[in-house]
This record gives sequence, C-alpha cells and structure tokens, in this order.
Amino acid sequence: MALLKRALPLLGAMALALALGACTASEGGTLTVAGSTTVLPIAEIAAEDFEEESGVHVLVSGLGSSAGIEAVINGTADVATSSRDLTQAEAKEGLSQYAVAHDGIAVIVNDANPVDGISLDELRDIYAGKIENWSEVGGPDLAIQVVNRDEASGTREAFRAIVMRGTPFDRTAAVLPGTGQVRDVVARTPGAIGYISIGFVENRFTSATVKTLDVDGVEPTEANLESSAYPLSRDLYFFTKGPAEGEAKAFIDYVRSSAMDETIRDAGYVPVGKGGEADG
Amino acid sequence: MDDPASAPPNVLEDVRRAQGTGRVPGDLVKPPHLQDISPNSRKAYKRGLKLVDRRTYAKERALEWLFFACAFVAVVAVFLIFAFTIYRAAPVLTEIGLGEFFGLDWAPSEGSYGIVALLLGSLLVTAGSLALGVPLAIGCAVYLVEIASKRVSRVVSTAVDLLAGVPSVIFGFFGLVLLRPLIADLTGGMGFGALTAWLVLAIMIVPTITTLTMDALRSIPMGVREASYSMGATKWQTIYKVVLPAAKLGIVNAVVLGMGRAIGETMAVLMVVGNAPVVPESISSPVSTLTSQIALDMGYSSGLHRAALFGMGVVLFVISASLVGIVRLVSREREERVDSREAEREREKRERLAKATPVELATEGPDLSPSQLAREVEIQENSRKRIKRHLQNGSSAKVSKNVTNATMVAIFKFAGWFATAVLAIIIAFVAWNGLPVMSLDFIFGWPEGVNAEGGIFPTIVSSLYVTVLAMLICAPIAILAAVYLAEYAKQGRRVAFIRYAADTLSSVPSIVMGLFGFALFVEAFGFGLSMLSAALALALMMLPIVMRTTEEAIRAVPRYIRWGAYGLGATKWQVVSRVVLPSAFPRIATGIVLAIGRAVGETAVVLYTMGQAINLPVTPLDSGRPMTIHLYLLANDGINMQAAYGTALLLMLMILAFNLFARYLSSKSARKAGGK
Repeated sequence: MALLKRALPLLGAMALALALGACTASEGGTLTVAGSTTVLPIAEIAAEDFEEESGVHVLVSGLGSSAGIEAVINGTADVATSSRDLTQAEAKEGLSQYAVAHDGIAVIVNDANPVDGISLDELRDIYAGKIENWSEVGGPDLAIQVVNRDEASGTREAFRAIVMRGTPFDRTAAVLPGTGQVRDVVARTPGAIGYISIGFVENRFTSATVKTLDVDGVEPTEANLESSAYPLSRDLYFFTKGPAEGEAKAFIDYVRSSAMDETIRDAGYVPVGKGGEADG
Repeated sequence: MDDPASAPPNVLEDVRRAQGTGRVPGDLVKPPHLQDISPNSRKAYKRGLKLVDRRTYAKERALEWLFFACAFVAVVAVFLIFAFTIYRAAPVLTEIGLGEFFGLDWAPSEGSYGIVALLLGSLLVTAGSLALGVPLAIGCAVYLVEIASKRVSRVVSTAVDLLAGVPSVIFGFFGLVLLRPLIADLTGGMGFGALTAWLVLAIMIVPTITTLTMDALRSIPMGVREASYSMGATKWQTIYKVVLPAAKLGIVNAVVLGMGRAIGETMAVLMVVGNAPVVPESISSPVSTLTSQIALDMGYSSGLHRAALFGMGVVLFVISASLVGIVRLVSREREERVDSREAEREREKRERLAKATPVELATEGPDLSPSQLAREVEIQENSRKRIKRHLQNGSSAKVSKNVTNATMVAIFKFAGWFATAVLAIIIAFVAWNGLPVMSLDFIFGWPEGVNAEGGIFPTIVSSLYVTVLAMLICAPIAILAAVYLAEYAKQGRRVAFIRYAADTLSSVPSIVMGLFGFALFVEAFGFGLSMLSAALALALMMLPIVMRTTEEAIRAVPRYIRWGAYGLGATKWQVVSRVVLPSAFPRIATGIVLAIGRAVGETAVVLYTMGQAINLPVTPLDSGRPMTIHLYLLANDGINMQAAYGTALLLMLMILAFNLFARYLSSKSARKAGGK
C-alpha cells in the first residue's frame, strides 16, 4: 500500500500533464515545421529567433525531406523543409515552393592524393563501381575506396540527380550516415573519395583536412556556386500547401531575410534573398 | 469438486503425493491446514466459511483481477507488437512477394527489396562476436565463481555489471572513434566492417553471458567440486571435467541469450559496419545488418520500402522469440536435472517428516524419480570415470598437471581482468576526451549555432523527462504484475504463458520496439513524435525487467512473515500491501533504478518515436532529442567532436551513478537483512 500511495500523486501529476499537453497542442499560435535533416539546423535557429520576435511557437522536427513533404500534403505540418525538388507525384498536390539557400557539393579526397580534378563522367563511373583504381583517372596505382551517404541524405539525392543520372550506385561502397564521418574517413584513408556540402570542407573543430577536386575544371567556390558555373549545386526549399499565408508566410520571410544570412553561411550554405513570393 | 465432509487431508499423504511428482507445489507452500480454507477463495466463500464479509471478498476478487490484468499486459504487448508489425509488413506478401523479399538485392530506390544479404550480415556479425565473446565471458564467469577471492571477485563483478549498463551508443562511439582507425591501419581499408563490429559486440555480450554463466556455476553443489578435489584433481581439472559439464545447460542458455543480444543490437553495429547492403568481400569491408539497415532507412522510407523494413522487423522478432523458446526448452531440461536447491528442500522436508536418521539419508541421495535418479547416477558415474581417466593421463603426460593448472588458471584470470580493463579503457577514453569540455555552461547551456557549440541542457532534460514518464507508466503495471505472478497465480500453464510473453518482450530487439512504437503510438494513436510515444515504447521495453526484479524481490520475502500476517486474520491484499511489498521495497527500488539506467541509455527505441529536434519538452506531446541521439548525431556529423565527447561523458556519468546507486541500495538492504 505504501508503494501505491507513493505512486498515486505521481500518476495524478502525469494525468494532469497529459491534459495540459492536449490543451497546449490545440491552442492557436503554433507553427509546425517538419522535414529535411539537412535544413534542420537552419530551421531550428530560425524558429528560435522567430519565436522571440513574433511570439509564434514554432515546432521543428527533422525526419527527412519525404516525411516533411508528406506531412504538409496531409496537413499534419504547416511548412515542409526539403533538400530536394518535388517528385512528379508530389508536384500534383499544389504545393508552393520557396528556395531558402544554395548548396554546393564538394568532391573530397585524401590530402596525399595527387589528383586535382575529375570530370562528371569519371565521377559517375567511380560511384557506379566501373573505375576502381586512381591510376584510371591520372593518379597513382591505388585502389579507390568509395564513401557514399545514406539514402536519407539530401546530399546523396542531389549527387544522384546531378552525377549519376540514372546509373545505379555501386552497393559495395561504405554508406555513412553523416557529413562528419565522410570527412573524417576521407581525411584518414589514402585511397578514399567522398562528397560533402561545401560549407563543411573547412572545419575549425578538427585538425584533419581534406582536399576538394575541381569538377569539369571548375573549382567549388562560393562565387562559382552563385554563378552556377560549378555543376554540383542544388537549392534548399521550404514548401507549403497552397501559397504561404499568415504565420507560415512570416516565418518563411524571416528565413529568407538578411537576418538569417550569417546562420545559413555557418551551416555551410549560400543564402538567397528573394522576398516572400513563391518561386513556382 | 472436493467433498466438504471428507476428512482433512493427511499432511504426510500430501507431501508424499508431492514427492511422487518430483516437485513441490509452488514456491510458496502454504501450511497444509490452510490449503482448504484460503479465506479469499471462491470455494471457501461458497462453502459458507464466512471469514470475510461480502465487501471485503468483492474487493479481494477485484484486486486479484486487476493484478491479473497487469500481468496480462505483457501478453497483450507481445501480441500487439507481433500483429502490428506483421500488419504493417503485409505489402511484403501482397506486393513484393516472399520470393523477392528473400532475394539478395537490397536497393530500395531501384525497387529491389531482398533481405538475404542483410540477414547474412547479421549472422556474420553475430557469429564472429560470439566466437570472441563467449570464451571471454565464460572465462570471466569461471574466474569469478571458481578462482577469484571474494574481494577481487567483488571488483571484477562490479565491472561486469557496470559494463552491462554502458549504453550501446557509447560502445558504438568508442568503436567508431577509437577501434575503427586502428582496424583501418591494420587492414589498410576504411576500418568499417564485420571485424570492427565483432570486437565491439564481443565486449557488449560479455555481461549477459557472464552473469548467466555465473548463476549456472553457482547452482552446482559444492560437494561435486569437493569430490573432484578429493580424488586429487587440480582446479583446472575440476573446472574442465566436472563443473563446466555439470553447468552445460545453463551455459548454453547464457550463450543463446547472448546471441539474441548480438543479433538485436542496433546502434553500436550501425556505427561501425559501414552499411553496404551486400555480401562482404572480406571481414574488413563494409557490410550491413537487419537492425542497422532499419535504423538507417526508417527516417525517410515510404511505401513498399517501409513495408519491407517492417518485414525485417518481423524476421528479427521471429528470430529473437525462437531464441527465447530454445532457452525455455533448455531450462526445462535443466530444472529437471540440476535444480539441486529444490532437491535440497525436499530432502529437508522429508527429513523432518519421516524423521529419518542421518545415516539413512546419506545413503539415499537427492530425492528424484527413479528415471531421474538413474540419470543422475549415470552422470556421477561418468564424471567419476572421467576424473579417473584424466588423472591417469595426467600422470603419464609430458606436461605436469600442475603446470597445466597454473596456465589455465592464469588464462581465466586474464579473462576476468580483461573485462575489467575494457571498462576502465572506455571510461578513461570518454573521460579523457570529455573532461576538457565539461563546464556548467555545457551542462546548463543551450546549444548554439548550427555547429552544436554551447551546452546540451535540452537533451539532458529530454532524456530525464522521457525516462521518468516511461517509469511512471511502467513501474505500477510491472509491480502489480509481479505481485500477481508471485503471490496470486497458481503455477501452471497460465503463469508459464505470461512468463514466456515477458521473456519474449524482453528479447524484442530495441529497433523493432522502435518500429512498433512508431507505427502504433506515433502514427495510429496520433501522439506524434513526442515524449509520450517514446515513453510508451520505453515502458514496454522496461516492463519485463522491472517485472522480473520485483517478482524476485517479492519471492525473497520470507514465508513466515506472510504466515504471521495471515495468522492475525489479514486478507491477502492486506498481507501483500502492508507486509510483503514494504519488506520487498529496497530490492524493488534497486530494480527500478537499474531500469532507469537502461532507459536513459536507450537509443534505438526513441530514435523514431521522439523526434530529433533540439527542444525543451514541457508537455508529454512535445518532441525532443535525448542525449543518446544527440551523441549519435554528433558522432555522425562530426562537426564538433568535442561536444560529442562531452555528451558521452555526461551520459556515462549519469548511468554509472544510477548503477552504483542501485548497487548501494541492494547492498544496504542486504546488510539490513543480515543485521536482523
């Protein structure tokens, strides 16, 4: 009995908390943002600052681009964040698209690797498993160790769309679930090749460095990214069901305003400033 | 139906009947004169033995039903998990087809959903880790039980217990950051692959196997060892030829459960295997497993891909449930053969009742049915022959038995200290790298910027929040369920069924529990990615653990205390609530604290039930990111490894604190009991 007596108030408190939870969730003034883990850091910081400025409570979660878009289509989220374009099926659902940042994908190799540049075709053959030695692309006689990203990654999706163009990935490649791991493994392994967002190539937190390759002769710099000269680039988007209105519009405007530029650069992307109109 | 007019059953008759079946009816033997007038039974009430009034009777019956309902939660949970996972996996049958599902190609983006490569990966990783871990764990157990002095044994067994508490994400982190580069240098590859997973998993399964093997060794009566020594056998000869063969079935159980742990492990494997869904070229090239592939793909999968993941969950569930089934079959055999404690008890009772002379008893041996007795004799004959044969060989062998003995004892000693050293290395590694980060700002600060600088306060709150919530849900149900099993239930098919369900529930791989939690709580119940969803899934995970420790605690309460209370006219519920539970409380608390430690360190269950955004949860419907997931994400993204080390250190400290607190509680209650 003693035990039960001790447990009862706790149970009561829990029931109360549950009831409160239900209340808060049904109140107005909240905005639900769901989607890409790539965009998650930006969305989180934006949500925090935006909440302070406007008093609107913003709930952010990241489970991947597809989940976010699905959530907006079926109405469980107000804004979807995505690191990819809509698929054909999704495009029929009447979503409005807002670009929030440009991102470039850098192809990285070990510092000791003498190769400086690569063509898109060679890159595709390496990731398809057709080229297996650095000597085939003008390097030393060293086996290429391919590092790929997991399928949840927007970076992989973009890489697939731009580089692979329908050719399947070599499935014996290591699949690593994070930018940091790709960078770390490439920095340590002489024959490795990988790809990460340009913003993560330089990193003040680790001493391990990696080398970027020019793709089709173009260096991955911010200028080349903005001028679209560098082939491996993509945009990050927010989606709403129909044109954004009210709180959703205010939030998207805030993310695209200059107040967020520094955050976006910190996250490794290039900001776009375009006001609040949908891109298409 | 008994005839109420029949003579009261003869005590001796009763016991003889019990002996005939070779077992004592239940653990809690009521004094025979109480057998017919249990004041709460329907029979007693119908017969007009109005020991209690109608209201009390109704209340007692209602409570019994409530307890039964709680115990039945485990059965319902197992059924729900299985049914719901199968339901979500249905498209595997209808649209993918079993032929393709058991194909070799896993390429969801191209529409191939073959899981055989992943299944082989799981088997490869498990087999290797068993090959390394089993000798280590058994050596460790033998050292602790047979060789080490009490003081040394306490140090090493504390280390083994603490090792059991280290969260899998920390093992994974350790493997990723420390072992992987070492393996990479050794093999010239990237260091991802089965080999790294073997090393990590081998350490992870040691506590499970060691603890269970120790139980098996301890259940061998001292006399068996003494007999061996008296024939001139050395320690090693006794261990190898007598003790280990006698404990064989218990050790098989331990290994099977260790295997279940290895197959179901998710996070640690995910972080070191390299996740290439192919049959690997070598043990140092990337490979993938069922569990790690589910964890990797779950976040973004949809449609058939997601159904295939649930299908993999079903496969994992079936594997782990069959392993539990094997353990139960083996245990039944084992109980018949070596449950010497039960035999001892019966012998004592016989002594008392039959007033036999010590001489007579000595010639009789343990009380067993003729067939069992024959088997027992055969075993003893065999071991006697074995010992003799071995001793003869020993005298003619080139190496003296003392040298062999010294070598083998040294090897066991090494196994014991190796486990301790690994724990020390992991703690030192995490502390060395994490301490420089540690500050009040880190603990109470908010993460800043996109590079996860600043503190980790919201993740600490999320971890504790979800754990407390899970315990509030789990503990009452688990305790009442244990009350039912220990105090109310008649040992029989119903209880065996509930136990089987609880064992199965505790063996469900954490990622499968995560899948189920996502499908039921997040989606079907509409709780969303929230503290509540994660807590419910965690509560199911913890339920069997708290149930088992509570039941053991209740059973450890001496019988005569209950009899005293019954003698004063207490009803069953009064006995349970005022006498049994309070005296079992310290041990129950120990079990709960241990479960809390496990919940705080759990990753795979909460990965897809809680959300991953950094958020300070207020209501149970808020999402958040617990420390374990924070560590996992930081380790993956590796942007700021400092924060990862800091998080790992804090997580480790919290879990060590919970485990040490639990040890303190149990030693305190043991002292108290001893003091009386």
